[in-house]
Amino acid sequence: MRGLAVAVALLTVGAVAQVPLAPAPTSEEVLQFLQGMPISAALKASLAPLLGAGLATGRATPAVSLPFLRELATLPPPQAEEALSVVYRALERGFMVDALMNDVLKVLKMGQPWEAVMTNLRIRSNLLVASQQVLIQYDIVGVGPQGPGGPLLPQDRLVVEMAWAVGDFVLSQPREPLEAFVRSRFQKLRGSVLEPSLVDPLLTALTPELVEQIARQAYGPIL
Amino acid sequence: MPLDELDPLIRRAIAREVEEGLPAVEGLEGRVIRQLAQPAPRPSWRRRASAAIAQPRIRLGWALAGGVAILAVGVLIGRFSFLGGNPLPSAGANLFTVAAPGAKEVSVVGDFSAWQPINLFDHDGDGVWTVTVALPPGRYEYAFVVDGRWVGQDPRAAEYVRTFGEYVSVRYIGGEGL
Repeated sequence: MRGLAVAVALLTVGAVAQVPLAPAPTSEEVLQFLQGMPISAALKASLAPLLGAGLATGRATPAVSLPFLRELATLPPPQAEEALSVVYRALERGFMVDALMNDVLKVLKMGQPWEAVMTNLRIRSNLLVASQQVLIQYDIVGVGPQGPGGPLLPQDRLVVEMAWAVGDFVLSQPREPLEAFVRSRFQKLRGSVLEPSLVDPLLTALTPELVEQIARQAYGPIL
Repeated sequence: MPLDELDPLIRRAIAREVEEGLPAVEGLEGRVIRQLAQPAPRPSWRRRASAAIAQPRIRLGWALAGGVAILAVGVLIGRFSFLGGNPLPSAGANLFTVAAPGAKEVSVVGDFSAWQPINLFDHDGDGVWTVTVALPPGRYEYAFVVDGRWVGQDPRAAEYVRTFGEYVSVRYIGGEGL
Protein backbone atom coordinates (compact mmCIF):
# COMPACT_ATOMS: atom_id res chain seq x y z
CA MET A 1 0.00 0.00 0.00
CA ARG A 2 2.94 2.27 0.70
CA GLY A 3 4.13 2.08 -2.91
CA LEU A 4 0.67 2.84 -4.25
CA ALA A 5 0.40 5.89 -2.00
CA VAL A 6 3.78 7.16 -3.18
CA ALA A 7 2.75 6.71 -6.83
CA VAL A 8 -0.52 8.58 -6.29
CA ALA A 9 1.31 11.38 -4.46
CA LEU A 10 3.86 11.70 -7.29
CA LEU A 11 1.09 11.82 -9.89
CA THR A 12 -0.78 14.48 -7.94
CA VAL A 13 2.32 16.60 -7.34
CA GLY A 14 3.20 16.40 -11.02
CA ALA A 15 -0.29 17.26 -12.15
CA VAL A 16 -0.81 20.31 -9.94
CA ALA A 17 2.76 21.54 -9.73
CA GLN A 18 2.54 23.86 -12.72
CA VAL A 19 -0.16 26.45 -13.03
CA PRO A 20 -0.75 27.30 -16.67
CA LEU A 21 -1.82 30.87 -17.24
CA ALA A 22 -5.53 31.39 -17.64
CA PRO A 23 -6.80 30.71 -21.15
CA ALA A 24 -6.55 33.89 -23.21
CA PRO A 25 -9.81 35.50 -24.29
CA THR A 26 -10.52 36.05 -27.97
CA SER A 27 -10.18 39.35 -29.83
CA GLU A 28 -13.96 39.32 -30.32
CA GLU A 29 -14.49 39.20 -26.56
CA VAL A 30 -12.21 42.22 -26.15
CA LEU A 31 -14.01 44.27 -28.81
CA GLN A 32 -17.39 43.21 -27.47
CA PHE A 33 -16.40 44.33 -23.97
CA LEU A 34 -15.23 47.68 -25.34
CA GLN A 35 -18.68 48.25 -26.86
CA GLY A 36 -20.29 47.70 -23.44
CA MET A 37 -18.03 50.11 -21.58
CA PRO A 38 -19.49 53.31 -20.09
CA ILE A 39 -17.41 55.65 -22.25
CA SER A 40 -18.36 58.05 -25.02
CA ALA A 41 -19.72 56.58 -28.24
CA ALA A 42 -17.22 58.67 -30.21
CA LEU A 43 -14.22 57.18 -28.43
CA LYS A 44 -15.64 53.68 -28.83
CA ALA A 45 -16.20 54.25 -32.53
CA SER A 46 -12.67 55.53 -33.13
CA LEU A 47 -10.89 53.08 -30.83
CA ALA A 48 -12.64 49.88 -31.97
CA PRO A 49 -11.05 49.64 -35.46
CA LEU A 50 -7.62 50.61 -34.13
CA LEU A 51 -7.81 48.08 -31.33
CA GLY A 52 -9.13 45.49 -33.77
CA ALA A 53 -6.14 46.08 -36.05
CA GLY A 54 -3.80 46.03 -33.06
CA LEU A 55 -5.22 42.70 -31.88
CA ALA A 56 -4.95 41.28 -35.40
CA THR A 57 -1.30 42.27 -35.82
CA GLY A 58 -0.09 41.50 -32.27
CA ARG A 59 0.36 45.11 -31.17
CA ALA A 60 -2.19 44.33 -28.48
CA THR A 61 -3.04 40.91 -27.07
CA PRO A 62 -6.43 39.83 -25.75
CA ALA A 63 -4.79 38.47 -22.57
CA VAL A 64 -3.77 42.01 -21.55
CA SER A 65 -6.42 44.08 -23.34
CA LEU A 66 -9.43 42.48 -21.67
CA PRO A 67 -8.21 42.81 -18.05
CA PHE A 68 -7.17 46.40 -18.91
CA LEU A 69 -10.63 47.30 -20.24
CA ARG A 70 -12.32 45.50 -17.35
CA GLU A 71 -10.25 47.49 -14.85
CA LEU A 72 -11.03 50.77 -16.63
CA ALA A 73 -14.73 49.91 -16.62
CA THR A 74 -14.68 50.04 -12.82
CA LEU A 75 -13.34 53.63 -12.86
CA PRO A 76 -15.24 56.86 -13.46
CA PRO A 77 -15.76 57.27 -17.25
CA PRO A 78 -13.56 60.40 -17.53
CA GLN A 79 -10.61 58.50 -16.07
CA ALA A 80 -11.21 55.53 -18.33
CA GLU A 81 -11.38 57.82 -21.36
CA GLU A 82 -8.19 59.60 -20.31
CA ALA A 83 -6.23 56.35 -20.24
CA LEU A 84 -7.88 55.01 -23.38
CA SER A 85 -6.95 58.18 -25.27
CA VAL A 86 -3.25 57.53 -24.61
CA VAL A 87 -3.57 53.94 -25.77
CA TYR A 88 -5.50 55.16 -28.81
CA ARG A 89 -2.65 57.52 -29.81
CA ALA A 90 -0.06 54.81 -29.33
CA LEU A 91 -2.02 52.37 -31.48
CA GLU A 92 -2.51 55.04 -34.12
CA ARG A 93 1.29 55.36 -34.41
CA GLY A 94 1.70 51.61 -34.67
CA PHE A 95 3.25 50.98 -31.24
CA MET A 96 2.87 47.77 -29.31
CA VAL A 97 0.55 48.71 -26.45
CA ASP A 98 0.55 45.67 -24.15
CA ALA A 99 3.29 47.23 -22.03
CA LEU A 100 1.32 50.48 -21.71
CA MET A 101 -1.83 48.65 -20.61
CA ASN A 102 0.13 46.41 -18.26
CA ASP A 103 1.69 49.46 -16.62
CA VAL A 104 -1.73 50.95 -15.95
CA LEU A 105 -2.79 47.68 -14.34
CA LYS A 106 0.43 47.55 -12.31
CA VAL A 107 0.15 51.05 -10.87
CA LEU A 108 -3.53 50.52 -10.09
CA LYS A 109 -2.72 47.21 -8.39
CA MET A 110 -0.13 49.04 -6.28
CA GLY A 111 -2.95 51.19 -4.99
CA GLN A 112 -1.50 54.42 -6.37
CA PRO A 113 -3.78 57.43 -6.96
CA TRP A 114 -5.09 58.12 -10.46
CA GLU A 115 -2.63 60.99 -10.92
CA ALA A 116 0.24 58.53 -10.54
CA VAL A 117 -1.36 56.17 -13.04
CA MET A 118 -1.62 58.93 -15.64
CA THR A 119 1.82 60.40 -14.90
CA ASN A 120 3.33 56.97 -15.48
CA LEU A 121 1.26 56.45 -18.63
CA ARG A 122 2.29 59.82 -20.10
CA ILE A 123 5.97 59.19 -19.37
CA ARG A 124 5.81 55.76 -20.98
CA SER A 125 3.90 57.06 -23.98
CA ASN A 126 6.30 59.96 -24.52
CA LEU A 127 9.27 57.65 -24.24
CA LEU A 128 7.80 55.30 -26.85
CA VAL A 129 7.65 58.16 -29.34
CA ALA A 130 11.07 59.50 -28.36
CA SER A 131 12.69 56.06 -28.54
CA GLN A 132 11.34 55.46 -32.01
CA GLN A 133 12.50 58.88 -33.23
CA VAL A 134 15.98 58.57 -31.76
CA LEU A 135 16.55 54.97 -32.85
CA ILE A 136 15.52 55.90 -36.39
CA GLN A 137 17.79 58.97 -36.23
CA TYR A 138 20.75 56.77 -35.23
CA ASP A 139 19.90 54.22 -37.97
CA ILE A 140 19.41 51.48 -35.41
CA VAL A 141 15.89 50.75 -36.67
CA GLY A 142 14.13 51.48 -39.94
CA VAL A 143 11.11 53.71 -40.29
CA GLY A 144 8.65 50.79 -40.27
CA PRO A 145 4.94 50.99 -41.05
CA GLN A 146 4.24 53.71 -38.42
CA GLY A 147 0.61 52.69 -38.38
CA PRO A 148 -1.73 50.24 -36.70
CA GLY A 149 -2.36 47.86 -39.60
CA GLY A 150 1.13 47.09 -40.88
CA PRO A 151 2.96 43.92 -39.99
CA LEU A 152 4.64 43.84 -36.61
CA LEU A 153 8.44 43.95 -36.94
CA PRO A 154 11.09 42.71 -34.49
CA GLN A 155 12.32 46.31 -34.19
CA ASP A 156 8.95 47.31 -32.70
CA ARG A 157 9.82 45.29 -29.61
CA LEU A 158 13.24 46.98 -29.49
CA VAL A 159 11.55 50.39 -29.40
CA VAL A 160 9.29 49.29 -26.54
CA GLU A 161 12.18 47.88 -24.54
CA MET A 162 14.22 51.08 -25.03
CA ALA A 163 11.28 53.17 -23.86
CA TRP A 164 10.81 50.95 -20.82
CA ALA A 165 14.48 50.88 -19.88
CA VAL A 166 14.72 54.68 -20.00
CA GLY A 167 11.33 54.99 -18.26
CA ASP A 168 12.40 52.69 -15.43
CA PHE A 169 15.50 54.82 -14.98
CA VAL A 170 13.52 58.07 -14.99
CA LEU A 171 10.99 56.72 -12.47
CA SER A 172 13.34 54.88 -10.13
CA GLN A 173 16.41 57.14 -10.30
CA PRO A 174 19.07 54.48 -9.63
CA ARG A 175 22.63 55.47 -8.72
CA GLU A 176 24.27 54.19 -11.90
CA PRO A 177 24.45 56.37 -15.02
CA LEU A 178 21.58 56.15 -17.53
CA GLU A 179 23.70 54.65 -20.30
CA ALA A 180 25.03 51.89 -18.03
CA PHE A 181 21.51 51.16 -16.80
CA VAL A 182 20.15 50.82 -20.34
CA ARG A 183 23.13 48.79 -21.55
CA SER A 184 22.76 46.36 -18.67
CA ARG A 185 19.05 45.98 -19.42
CA PHE A 186 19.64 45.14 -23.07
CA GLN A 187 22.40 42.70 -22.21
CA LYS A 188 19.85 40.82 -20.09
CA LEU A 189 17.17 41.02 -22.77
CA ARG A 190 19.58 39.70 -25.40
CA GLY A 191 18.49 36.19 -26.27
CA SER A 192 15.40 36.04 -24.05
CA VAL A 193 13.16 38.81 -25.37
CA LEU A 194 15.22 40.16 -28.25
CA GLU A 195 17.28 38.44 -30.91
CA PRO A 196 21.02 39.06 -30.54
CA SER A 197 21.06 40.28 -34.16
CA LEU A 198 18.72 43.07 -33.08
CA VAL A 199 20.44 43.95 -29.81
CA ASP A 200 24.06 43.88 -30.90
CA PRO A 201 23.86 46.90 -33.27
CA LEU A 202 22.12 48.83 -30.50
CA LEU A 203 24.78 47.94 -27.93
CA THR A 204 27.44 49.08 -30.40
CA ALA A 205 25.71 52.38 -31.06
CA LEU A 206 24.62 53.07 -27.47
CA THR A 207 26.04 56.28 -26.03
CA PRO A 208 25.11 58.54 -23.12
CA GLU A 209 23.97 61.15 -25.66
CA LEU A 210 21.59 58.71 -27.36
CA VAL A 211 19.79 57.68 -24.18
CA GLU A 212 19.76 61.20 -22.73
CA GLN A 213 18.13 62.46 -25.90
CA ILE A 214 15.30 60.00 -25.27
CA ALA A 215 15.05 60.68 -21.54
CA ARG A 216 14.73 64.45 -22.03
CA GLN A 217 11.30 63.97 -23.59
CA ALA A 218 9.85 61.95 -20.72
CA TYR A 219 8.22 64.79 -18.82
CA GLY A 220 7.12 66.95 -21.72
CA PRO A 221 3.56 67.24 -23.00
CA ILE A 222 2.20 64.08 -24.58
CA LEU A 223 3.91 63.66 -27.93
CA MET B 1 13.85 -41.40 47.48
CA PRO B 2 17.62 -41.51 47.02
CA LEU B 3 18.93 -40.01 43.81
CA ASP B 4 20.55 -43.27 42.57
CA GLU B 5 17.04 -44.91 42.50
CA LEU B 6 15.42 -41.92 40.80
CA ASP B 7 17.70 -41.98 37.78
CA PRO B 8 16.63 -45.47 36.46
CA LEU B 9 12.98 -44.49 36.94
CA ILE B 10 13.44 -41.43 34.76
CA ARG B 11 15.24 -43.44 32.09
CA ARG B 12 12.44 -46.02 31.96
CA ALA B 13 9.78 -43.32 31.71
CA ILE B 14 11.56 -41.66 28.76
CA ALA B 15 11.99 -45.02 26.98
CA ARG B 16 8.24 -45.72 27.40
CA GLU B 17 7.35 -42.28 25.97
CA VAL B 18 9.57 -42.83 22.93
CA GLU B 19 8.07 -46.27 22.27
CA GLU B 20 4.54 -44.90 22.45
CA GLY B 21 5.40 -42.02 20.03
CA LEU B 22 7.08 -44.14 17.36
CA PRO B 23 3.96 -44.91 15.27
CA ALA B 24 3.39 -41.12 14.78
CA VAL B 25 6.98 -40.63 13.60
CA GLU B 26 6.88 -43.57 11.16
CA GLY B 27 6.43 -42.37 7.56
CA LEU B 28 6.89 -38.72 8.55
CA GLU B 29 9.62 -38.15 5.97
CA GLY B 30 7.44 -39.50 3.16
CA ARG B 31 4.51 -37.39 4.21
CA VAL B 32 6.66 -34.26 4.21
CA ILE B 33 8.02 -35.01 0.73
CA ARG B 34 4.52 -35.63 -0.65
CA GLN B 35 3.31 -32.34 0.85
CA LEU B 36 6.20 -30.44 -0.67
CA ALA B 37 5.55 -32.00 -4.08
CA GLN B 38 1.99 -30.65 -4.14
CA PRO B 39 1.54 -27.11 -5.64
CA ALA B 40 1.14 -24.52 -2.95
CA PRO B 41 -2.34 -22.96 -2.69
CA ARG B 42 -2.35 -19.52 -4.43
CA PRO B 43 -2.65 -16.75 -1.83
CA SER B 44 -5.22 -13.97 -2.33
CA TRP B 45 -4.17 -10.88 -4.35
CA ARG B 46 -4.23 -8.77 -1.20
CA ARG B 47 -1.83 -11.13 0.55
CA ARG B 48 0.45 -11.17 -2.52
CA ALA B 49 0.39 -7.34 -2.83
CA SER B 50 1.21 -6.86 0.85
CA ALA B 51 4.04 -9.38 0.59
CA ALA B 52 5.46 -7.61 -2.46
CA ILE B 53 5.37 -4.22 -0.75
CA ALA B 54 6.71 -5.58 2.54
CA GLN B 55 9.63 -7.33 0.84
CA PRO B 56 10.51 -5.28 -2.21
CA ARG B 57 12.81 -7.00 -4.67
CA ILE B 58 13.22 -4.00 -7.03
CA ARG B 59 16.61 -2.43 -7.46
CA LEU B 60 16.98 1.15 -6.27
CA GLY B 61 17.80 2.44 -9.76
CA TRP B 62 14.65 0.93 -11.25
CA ALA B 63 12.56 2.27 -8.38
CA LEU B 64 13.88 5.80 -8.97
CA ALA B 65 13.32 5.51 -12.72
CA GLY B 66 9.73 4.39 -12.08
CA GLY B 67 9.15 7.32 -9.73
CA VAL B 68 10.49 9.79 -12.27
CA ALA B 69 8.31 8.24 -14.98
CA ILE B 70 5.19 8.54 -12.80
CA LEU B 71 6.07 12.15 -11.98
CA ALA B 72 6.57 12.91 -15.67
CA VAL B 73 3.14 11.45 -16.47
CA GLY B 74 1.69 13.67 -13.75
CA VAL B 75 3.39 16.74 -15.19
CA LEU B 76 2.05 15.89 -18.65
CA ILE B 77 -1.44 15.52 -17.22
CA GLY B 78 -1.03 18.91 -15.56
CA ARG B 79 0.33 20.54 -18.69
CA PHE B 80 -2.17 19.28 -21.19
CA SER B 81 -5.42 18.75 -19.40
CA PHE B 82 -5.45 20.91 -16.29
CA LEU B 83 -8.71 22.84 -16.29
CA GLY B 84 -8.60 23.10 -20.06
CA GLY B 85 -5.65 25.47 -19.77
CA ASN B 86 -3.80 26.91 -22.72
CA PRO B 87 -0.14 25.98 -22.25
CA LEU B 88 2.20 28.40 -23.92
CA PRO B 89 4.77 27.17 -26.42
CA SER B 90 8.18 26.42 -24.97
CA ALA B 91 6.94 27.34 -21.53
CA GLY B 92 9.16 26.59 -18.57
CA ALA B 93 8.25 25.95 -14.95
CA ASN B 94 8.96 29.00 -12.83
CA LEU B 95 8.79 28.75 -9.11
CA PHE B 96 7.48 31.72 -7.17
CA THR B 97 8.00 31.35 -3.47
CA VAL B 98 7.71 33.68 -0.49
CA ALA B 99 8.03 33.16 3.25
CA ALA B 100 4.88 34.43 4.91
CA PRO B 101 4.29 32.58 8.20
CA GLY B 102 0.79 33.07 9.51
CA ALA B 103 -0.53 34.60 6.29
CA LYS B 104 -4.06 33.77 5.20
CA GLU B 105 -3.87 34.61 1.52
CA VAL B 106 -0.80 34.95 -0.69
CA SER B 107 -0.75 35.62 -4.42
CA VAL B 108 1.69 36.68 -7.11
CA VAL B 109 0.76 39.42 -9.55
CA GLY B 110 2.76 40.28 -12.63
CA ASP B 111 2.74 41.31 -16.23
CA PHE B 112 2.57 37.62 -17.19
CA SER B 113 -0.99 37.56 -15.81
CA ALA B 114 -1.92 41.19 -16.60
CA TRP B 115 -1.45 41.80 -12.86
CA GLN B 116 -4.29 39.45 -12.01
CA PRO B 117 -3.55 37.37 -8.88
CA ILE B 118 -2.32 33.78 -9.04
CA ASN B 119 -2.66 32.10 -5.66
CA LEU B 120 0.28 30.57 -3.82
CA PHE B 121 -0.13 27.61 -1.47
CA ASP B 122 1.42 26.47 1.76
CA HIS B 123 0.47 22.80 1.71
CA ASP B 124 2.68 21.69 4.59
CA GLY B 125 1.98 24.70 6.81
CA ASP B 126 5.65 25.66 7.18
CA GLY B 127 4.96 29.29 6.26
CA VAL B 128 6.60 29.04 2.83
CA TRP B 129 4.08 29.73 0.07
CA THR B 130 4.77 28.53 -3.45
CA VAL B 131 3.36 28.23 -6.92
CA THR B 132 4.94 27.18 -10.19
CA VAL B 133 3.82 29.08 -13.25
CA ALA B 134 4.52 28.01 -16.82
CA LEU B 135 6.14 30.97 -18.60
CA PRO B 136 7.86 31.34 -21.97
CA PRO B 137 11.22 33.13 -22.21
CA GLY B 138 10.98 36.83 -21.47
CA ARG B 139 11.41 39.61 -18.92
CA TYR B 140 8.76 39.57 -16.23
CA GLU B 141 7.83 42.09 -13.56
CA TYR B 142 5.98 40.79 -10.52
CA ALA B 143 5.23 41.24 -6.85
CA PHE B 144 3.68 39.19 -4.08
CA VAL B 145 0.53 40.26 -2.29
CA VAL B 146 0.45 38.91 1.27
CA ASP B 147 -2.90 39.43 2.98
CA GLY B 148 -3.39 42.55 0.84
CA ARG B 149 0.13 43.88 1.50
CA TRP B 150 2.44 44.57 -1.48
CA VAL B 151 5.72 42.66 -1.24
CA GLY B 152 7.75 43.87 -4.20
CA GLN B 153 11.25 42.68 -3.38
CA ASP B 154 11.70 38.97 -3.98
CA PRO B 155 15.18 37.75 -2.95
CA ARG B 156 15.11 35.44 -6.00
CA ALA B 157 14.64 38.35 -8.43
CA ALA B 158 17.28 39.41 -10.94
CA GLU B 159 16.59 43.07 -10.26
CA TYR B 160 14.05 45.47 -8.79
CA VAL B 161 12.27 48.39 -10.38
CA ARG B 162 10.86 51.17 -8.23
CA THR B 163 7.75 53.02 -9.33
CA PHE B 164 6.22 55.73 -7.14
CA GLY B 165 7.96 54.41 -4.05
CA GLU B 166 6.90 50.78 -4.54
CA TYR B 167 9.15 48.04 -5.83
CA VAL B 168 8.49 45.29 -8.29
CA SER B 169 10.77 42.33 -8.84
CA VAL B 170 12.06 41.36 -12.25
CA ARG B 171 12.91 37.93 -13.53
CA TYR B 172 14.54 37.10 -16.86
CA ILE B 173 13.65 33.71 -18.24
CA GLY B 174 15.90 32.26 -20.90
CA GLY B 175 18.63 34.12 -22.74
CA GLU B 176 21.57 35.70 -21.00
CA GLY B 177 19.49 37.30 -18.27
CA LEU B 178 19.22 34.06 -16.35
